[in-house]
Amino acid sequence: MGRPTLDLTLLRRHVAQLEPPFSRTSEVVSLGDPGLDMALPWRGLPKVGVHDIIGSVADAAADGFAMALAGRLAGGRGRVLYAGGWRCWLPYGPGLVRFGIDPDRLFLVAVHRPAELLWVMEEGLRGGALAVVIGDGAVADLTASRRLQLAAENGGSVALMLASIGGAHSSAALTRWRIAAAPSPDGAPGPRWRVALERCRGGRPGDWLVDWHDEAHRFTVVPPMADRRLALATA
Amino acid sequence: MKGGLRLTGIDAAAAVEGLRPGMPLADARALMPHLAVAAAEPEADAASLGCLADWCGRWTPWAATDGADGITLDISGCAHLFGGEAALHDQIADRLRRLGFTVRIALADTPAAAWAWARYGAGGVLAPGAQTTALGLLPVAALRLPAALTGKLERLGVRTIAELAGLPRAALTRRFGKTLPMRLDQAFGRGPEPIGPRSPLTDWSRRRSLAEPIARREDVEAGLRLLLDDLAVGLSHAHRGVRQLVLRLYRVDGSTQDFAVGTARPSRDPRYLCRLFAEPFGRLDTGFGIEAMVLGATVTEPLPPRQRDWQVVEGEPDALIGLIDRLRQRLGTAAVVRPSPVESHWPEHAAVTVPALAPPGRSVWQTPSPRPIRLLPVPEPVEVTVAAPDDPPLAFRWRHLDCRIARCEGPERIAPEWWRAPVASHGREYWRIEDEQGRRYWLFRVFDGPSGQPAAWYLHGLFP
Repeated sequence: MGRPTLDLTLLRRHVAQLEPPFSRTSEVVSLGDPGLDMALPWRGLPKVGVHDIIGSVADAAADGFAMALAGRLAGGRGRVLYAGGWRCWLPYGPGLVRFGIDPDRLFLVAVHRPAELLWVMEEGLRGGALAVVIGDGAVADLTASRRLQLAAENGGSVALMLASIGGAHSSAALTRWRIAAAPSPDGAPGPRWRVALERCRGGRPGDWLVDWHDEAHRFTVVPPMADRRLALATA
Repeated sequence: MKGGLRLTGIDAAAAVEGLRPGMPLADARALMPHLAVAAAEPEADAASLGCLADWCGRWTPWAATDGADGITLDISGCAHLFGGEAALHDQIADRLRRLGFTVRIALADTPAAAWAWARYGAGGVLAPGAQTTALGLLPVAALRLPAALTGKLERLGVRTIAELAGLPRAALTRRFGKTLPMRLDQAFGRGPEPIGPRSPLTDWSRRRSLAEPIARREDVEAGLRLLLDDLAVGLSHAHRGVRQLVLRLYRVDGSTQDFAVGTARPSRDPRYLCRLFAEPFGRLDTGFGIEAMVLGATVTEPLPPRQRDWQVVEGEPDALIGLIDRLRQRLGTAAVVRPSPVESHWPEHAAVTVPALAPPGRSVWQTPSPRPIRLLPVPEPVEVTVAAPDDPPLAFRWRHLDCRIARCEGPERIAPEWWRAPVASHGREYWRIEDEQGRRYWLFRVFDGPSGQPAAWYLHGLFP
């Protein structure tokens, strides 16, 4: 009976060696709420890899979620590069303070073509000088997202692919989040979003109502009961 | 002698038949019925002369076009690089003839003397001692005088420069104005005649003539690397770093190609600078081959020698500077920026962008109330439903999108800052607004606008 277990451990070790390094050694950043962290297979968000974030054109909920993730991933010292362009609305500095993003460590890059955007992201990820690269309007197919994933593993950085449409195409991203605005609670002006984890490599999808705390720079999951009470109250 | 087509230029065969520039085309056809004619293109000629002058930069950086048909080269301190004045003269003549040009070349002590000797003299190298005698025999037209003045002098019987130089100077000035003595002085080297080079000169430039023309990109890169190594030695002795580099390639067919790169911080690292050329080399066109390369640092800045260890503590890491430079190389200098706080209540003024590697700003954003994550560059007008003129809005319509407002906070009054330009004319009342889906907007109402009209509402930003 001992032999099959031995083979299994051997196989596990083999597989572990074959896997990309991030899944074993990479640092993980907590999102601030144990419920969210435990829902992810890494018990937090790894500091290496590609993530898709999908929002809608009419609001800035996904932008806020991406900036919040970037703020947590970069911490106090990492640099963030934001590349985008054809929406013409670069992020507004005074509105980023609440996400803990230091303006001295944020770079804005204006691009004009989707191919240029992917190039900027790949360059930014590979160098290792940046903690987070946000691509606004970045739609990467399977090949392109694999390239970005490799670049991110090379440089030890995170790519956040911010798109208003999508989800139908296949992608090599570690996770795919869909963010929608949600009515804010009474008396608390902080952002509240409906956050759906649609795909997660090695994990299961989930759906939460999440608050962002401006001072603590962290997420908290709103308990479903509280949400229902609010929904009833606002209806 | 009005109207009609005239000859502007002729070749040697036509000259033998008695044709002259300026002759009416009909007369020329009468002399030579089988004459082949093409329309004159002065602009194209000037452009091509300019290209040729650039190409002559391979012998000296001081190359300039001279009139419609001449190129002036200042070869001070350059001749010995090409085996002396006579050898340089022969080389230039040989190269230009092989490109298919008919040239007359003169090499003299002053630009004026060279001009005269090329056009009215025998051409070739004018020995320093022989200059006064040789020039003296030339007609006065060789002094580049206006045609009217030349005619006047000839009517007076003054035919050669020597005769003119013999006349009393004060009388000449009184009679013919200042041009004549000035031209004489320039011819004999008594007066200044600066040459304006076509391309800006640099203190830092390195050149390489190649024994065999090269055409492959790898070879060009290898040549560039050697030039950079050479330049880096000089720069490091002078404690300077490069901010801008221009590489000019001289092709065998008499044309040039320029590549310019810029760096965010001064640098003299050849490996790093070489990498910057990777992007512009995408349009490298070696044609029939490249025979010379000139690398010039057009902008340099002081760069004291550093110890490796300091870099971690001081300033940005090399990887970041390299990344910024690559991005700027491809997207343009203005494409990579950093937001920087400005102490201003006016939303448009509170955030400016500065170059990506500008030193960190000293102020921070302190806002009395939350600010949107995206600010529209220009506020967009919205149709708003209000119960009473000063009441909070109930609903609004933006870009064909109807929003029913569920909650709203405000107003926050912001008055224009008259001491800053450009001055906005009216104050604004900002409202933070949330619609029924939870989308959050930043709307404002112009509160001291023209009276008697309903207040105008605008959407100015999106909250996360």
